[in-house]
Amino acid sequence: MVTQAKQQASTQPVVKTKTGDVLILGAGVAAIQAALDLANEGFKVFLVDKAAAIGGKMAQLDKTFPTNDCSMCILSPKFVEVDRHPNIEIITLAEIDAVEGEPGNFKVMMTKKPRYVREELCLGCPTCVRYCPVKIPDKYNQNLSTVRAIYVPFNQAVPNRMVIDPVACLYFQRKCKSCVPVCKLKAIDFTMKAEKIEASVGAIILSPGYETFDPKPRGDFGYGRYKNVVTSLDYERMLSASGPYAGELRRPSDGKPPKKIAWLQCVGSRQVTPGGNSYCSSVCCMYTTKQAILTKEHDASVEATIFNNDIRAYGKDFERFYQRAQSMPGVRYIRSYVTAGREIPNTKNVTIKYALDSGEVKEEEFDLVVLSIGMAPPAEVEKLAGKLAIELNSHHFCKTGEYSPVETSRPGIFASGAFRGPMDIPESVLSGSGAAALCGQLLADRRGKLAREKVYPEERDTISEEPRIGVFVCHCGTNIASVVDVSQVAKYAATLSNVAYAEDTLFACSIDSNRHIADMVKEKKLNRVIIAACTPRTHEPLFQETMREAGLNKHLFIMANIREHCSWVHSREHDKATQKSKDLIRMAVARAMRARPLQELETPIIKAALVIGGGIAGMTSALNLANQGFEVQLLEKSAQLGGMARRIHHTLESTDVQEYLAGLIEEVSQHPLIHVTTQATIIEGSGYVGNFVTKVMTPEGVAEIKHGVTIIATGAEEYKPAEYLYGKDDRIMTLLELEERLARNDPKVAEAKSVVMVQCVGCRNKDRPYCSRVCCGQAIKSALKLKEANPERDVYIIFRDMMTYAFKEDAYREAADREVRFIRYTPENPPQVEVADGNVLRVTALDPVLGKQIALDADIVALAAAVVPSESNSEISRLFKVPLNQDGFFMEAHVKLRPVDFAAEGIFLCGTAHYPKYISETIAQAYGAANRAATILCQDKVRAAGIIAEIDKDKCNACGLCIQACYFGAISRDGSERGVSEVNPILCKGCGNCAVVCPSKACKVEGFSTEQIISQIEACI
Amino acid sequence: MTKCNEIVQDIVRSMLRAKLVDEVVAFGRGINESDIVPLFITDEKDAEKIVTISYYPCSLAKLVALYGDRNKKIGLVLRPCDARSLVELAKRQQVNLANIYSIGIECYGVVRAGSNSHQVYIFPDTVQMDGETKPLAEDVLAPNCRRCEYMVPTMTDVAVRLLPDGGCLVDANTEKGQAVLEAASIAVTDMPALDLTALKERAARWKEKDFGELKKMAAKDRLHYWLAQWEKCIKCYGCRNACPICYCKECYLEPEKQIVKNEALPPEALFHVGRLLHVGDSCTDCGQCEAACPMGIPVSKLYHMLYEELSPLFDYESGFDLATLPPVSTISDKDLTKTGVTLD
Amino acid sequence: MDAVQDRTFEPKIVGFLCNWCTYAGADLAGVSRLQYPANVRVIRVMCSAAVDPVFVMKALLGGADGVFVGGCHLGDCHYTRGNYFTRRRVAMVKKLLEVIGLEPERLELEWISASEGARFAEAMRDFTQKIKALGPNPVKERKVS
Repeated sequence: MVTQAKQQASTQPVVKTKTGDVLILGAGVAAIQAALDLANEGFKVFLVDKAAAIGGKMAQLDKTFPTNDCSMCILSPKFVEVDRHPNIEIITLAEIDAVEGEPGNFKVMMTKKPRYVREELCLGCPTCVRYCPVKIPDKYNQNLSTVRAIYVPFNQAVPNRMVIDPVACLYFQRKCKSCVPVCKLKAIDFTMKAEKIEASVGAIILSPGYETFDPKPRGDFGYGRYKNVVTSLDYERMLSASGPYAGELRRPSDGKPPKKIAWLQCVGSRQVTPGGNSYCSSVCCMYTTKQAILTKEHDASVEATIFNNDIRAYGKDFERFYQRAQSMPGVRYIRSYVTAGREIPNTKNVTIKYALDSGEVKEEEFDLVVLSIGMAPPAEVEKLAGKLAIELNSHHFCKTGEYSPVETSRPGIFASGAFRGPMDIPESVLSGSGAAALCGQLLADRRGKLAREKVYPEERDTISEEPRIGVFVCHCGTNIASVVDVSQVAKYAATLSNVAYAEDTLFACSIDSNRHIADMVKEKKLNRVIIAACTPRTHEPLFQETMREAGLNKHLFIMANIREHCSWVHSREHDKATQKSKDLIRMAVARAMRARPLQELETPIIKAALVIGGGIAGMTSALNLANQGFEVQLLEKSAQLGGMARRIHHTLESTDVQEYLAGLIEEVSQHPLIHVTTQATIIEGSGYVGNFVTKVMTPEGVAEIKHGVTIIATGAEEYKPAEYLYGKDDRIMTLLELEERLARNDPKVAEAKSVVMVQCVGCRNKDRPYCSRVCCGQAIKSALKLKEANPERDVYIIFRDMMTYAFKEDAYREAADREVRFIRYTPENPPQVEVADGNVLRVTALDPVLGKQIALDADIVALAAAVVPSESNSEISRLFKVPLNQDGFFMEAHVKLRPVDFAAEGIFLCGTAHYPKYISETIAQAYGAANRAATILCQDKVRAAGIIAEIDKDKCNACGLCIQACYFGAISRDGSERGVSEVNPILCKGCGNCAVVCPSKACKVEGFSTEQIISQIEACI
Repeated sequence: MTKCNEIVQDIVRSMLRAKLVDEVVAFGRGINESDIVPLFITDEKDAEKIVTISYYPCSLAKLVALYGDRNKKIGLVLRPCDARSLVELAKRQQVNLANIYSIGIECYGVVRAGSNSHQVYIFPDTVQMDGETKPLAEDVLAPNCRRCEYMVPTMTDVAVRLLPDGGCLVDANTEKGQAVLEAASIAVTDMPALDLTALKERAARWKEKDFGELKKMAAKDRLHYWLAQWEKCIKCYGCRNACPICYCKECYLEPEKQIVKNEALPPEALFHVGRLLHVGDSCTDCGQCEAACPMGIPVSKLYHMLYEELSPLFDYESGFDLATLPPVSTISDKDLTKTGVTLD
Repeated sequence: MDAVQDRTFEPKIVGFLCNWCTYAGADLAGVSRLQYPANVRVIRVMCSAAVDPVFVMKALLGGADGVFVGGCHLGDCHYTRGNYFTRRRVAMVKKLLEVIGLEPERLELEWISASEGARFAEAMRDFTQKIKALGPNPVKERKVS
């Protein structure tokens, strides 16, 4: 050991060079999405993060709104995918020093800090942790609990390796080496030095994420001084089952369950005061709503009070979520500015002062105060921007263009995630795919050149062999062996019938051990392998690799979990744990007896895309796919391309939409790989991922299109108001109509002295309980135009909540500065529009500030008409068997992590067909959808998973019960006269519900077959 | 020859004559008066063999499912319980209901097949049993019939209702039924209002008697009661073969499926429970299983007891609505609104 | 001997856990070193909807003292709706148990997510305790004969 250390110390520092296609800076959820997409497309990716593990902020969240899905549960499968991907190299603890070169040819210089644990040796077993004498605050748990100075950042961390905190570790103070000898793998190495790495890549994606606003410097609301004032991220950890209080609701001062909790919104956001951020952080209203609901689920008796300015429930299904919280007993939303109160000395409760409607100020006491902190740019962002030579916007987030939302100012460097500005998880994820789309476009010709695919020896045919089972019982250092008598267990295993070989091994997952297992397979002619060790959820893929390397089918491998499910949870009951280990192995043997080799079916892919809808979304997707080298059929139901954007003339940021649109249409029409069909109606859809057949009716007749993927971008429509005398008076119009009339300089509009806008017309009501997201921005945009043309003109916006999220808050502030009058109304007291005597158009509303009705005489009344789903949605939904949500918009596969995918593979979604959104959001999503589609088109074949349902047609009763029980549309009747069921292996996900429904067991999922599980049960009882 | 028999024969003849159907399946005389067999009638002359009797040897619905030609139009003369089984089979795509014309006969209950030496021609109010003529009283009825409250055929195309005076009334429940009555030139008469009070009272009383004594037992005693019953089993598969809604080409209780071990007799208890799991939610309590059991295991009592528990739980009434699938093979929209681990 | 008072009675419990949530929750219980009685033997299934009622009955009629089924919370199912099927099936089997004279409490269904390690450990403690109170599966009494 000493010599080894000396040798390494004497080595000169060298620069390690690496070659790849794309380097992604940051490893949060957006970066992970980009990495997986690109890697699956055949690009070699470096995923670089300064942290010791990937995951970013999302890994810290307890649940996600508006579905309250468990954050880690949906994220950690992605970690494993990244970890195992042959085309992704994770570089942790690394920071970028400089970037040289140009698109297609960048050199990225990085410094990787020492981990003091050899990544190639450490297996993440926590033996060393028990010997470390130093406790440090656990950053993952927001410093509310402790870890040792040698630690894994969190349970599901990838890479699953220890890291040493060099500041706290006693080695660096007094050469403490308690952990070194206990590591049987000799992974701990204090001689490690910082490394220089130089990576050559073709493109770069910046995804460094965000920091949460830190209320400590200003001491907002006593944060830092009062123990029971916490940030929302602290509270997120407090709620989490894996958090500091193991999921029990407690407060920091005394560990007692808080019964009265206040959330204070906009802490650090929407502030022009020093130390604050002027923009809206976009996500806080909803995460607070989520936290309130989760809190009530923990303890229904808690009183939850949310002090807010507006509730910005502008996203898909947010309004419903907000209403759900609002209707819960004990939940109060109070619209009021609040000021800090004081800490009550004996109880450590905290008071908050707020204004009542009457103007009176009230001071109220709370057990716990949660500060809904906003998002801030990443730490040292200017330095980062300098190293990368990219520009930042005025808020110090990455500067992107309105029509180039995932591009930085430096060509070849793209941006994804919240580095682009405050945003929610789905927008981050789709921008990860979106940035990947532009990499794919830039680097299309080098796709597949650096990617590697592992070559395995030919699989041994074991079908006719009698089962010969090998059992390997892992010590996992001392993790298992200190509780379970592993050698006794191995001896027992050897006595079981058909077990040809059994042994115990120190670390089954070490490289040596893997080699040994492969050798034993050959030497003992094993055809089934059981490893009794840890959980298959993390280690099964590794051992399946071993099987393949040993020439065995990977499905002939079975794991018995004697660590997580045994030694760790029965650590004081050695005998019982040993007995249980034997039982688990006996059960594994029973299952292995009936294990069969499985082949993964493949079908070829038609390398062409069908894009439905010729608006900005559809055209952007089509163009990107064509630029990535794929044939695209673009269908538009009307006579011309452009969609809703034809009616939009400028954006909130004042760019010319028509100019952009004309350029886009030109580019799409000229592209040799894009075939545009207008006046197209789809009449028939069939097929599945890789092999769709769609029939289209055009004025020229019926055409049949064969395509591998489908993108649905059918857009949305403007609601035709039935309210506010719309249609009865020429002076009353929708906001879009106002915009059109402004653009063509309609004198009626140009000369108007008084314009009144009414928000939320036709939505956020009983019929349409959703927010149309874009109307507030639309109103402000037109208000500013009106003021710009004539500053003397009166412009009023009568609104409920201004949904000017993220940087749109600037425009809201600007409008207020230019004396656009904002008057708030509640749904109980909507404004009235009437044509009064003398043909005067009059709007009356209750002004909450003045507390009385005001009457406004208007020359123009503009209604913020809702965005409603396209009428054709239900037909498209039926033809492609993709679902709509309750409001009639298309429903994505997963609201957070699969925002542009449908559950049905090979079909994707973008634009307002998904939900109302701004043009730049549409473009980002269109790139996202295009790239998700590209991940499929880049493959030659679609491959079915090994564990899928099969139906024995001879035994099938053709009862069809399995068909309706399959939620993936994977089972259908075959063409035969009896019409028996058959499984489309490409669509099947292997859940096994069909096999349970099938009475004759003609249907089964090999690997989890009825016979296998029955014999496992028999072995158990 | 009863009035009911006459009318049914008439209807069958007219259906064949009008070519509404290619074939009629009904019970009729076999080689002698006491030999009752299912008939597949294609010639209207054979309609005279049809008998409507206090005895129902097997499920005709199952026969059609097994041997019927899906493309042929079939007339089917059956009892309400069998008609419900027909609907259950149709849900499972085992019969083509579009091609079936069902003639349902109101039922007073039947005597158990297998009771020895009975003449069972006289219908509806007496039965020849053990050499003597007995009134068709409750105590000679099959146990499942005594618990039945579905004796009026409301689920068939044509309903033949019995009147207390021995007469008959005919009604059409569906458009197909109307076509049948038109072909038979039967004018639909005003039906007397359905009064099921007495029937329901009887059913409730017998359910209370049959199930009540088991329910009153301590759980362990009940378990041992059933285990003892199952220990009589000789694994003849009679119950399964008789069950109208056991439709599998290959049963999962066959030994090669390795779910139930093929060792000594009696079979493991799972043999009985395995079948119960498959049809318990949809049982029409036709009693065929119990009638088929040579060992006298009260099979239908067990099935009916479970069905009575499951029916309110899943809001499922077997044998009526074609669109409602067997409750443990599907879920309903209502489920999505319920939270928690139970369906309450 | 009265089973309830038999302190030596160690119930045999079969646990069917779905791969994505409850199995992961059980893993987390392990990672967090949360202790629970060593009575459960876990059989991993991809989805709780893959737990065929016949598995449950095979176990209980074969002498297992309890069967535990764990799935994702409603709405979280990896396969969208699997756990709704599970809930119906468990409800059915519980009724069946009651009818044939086995205690329905011997079968337990819980929704436990991947992050609820503590809840899994607690569920194991509670269920083991419950089964201990119920005593050995009475099916076994007959098996000896």
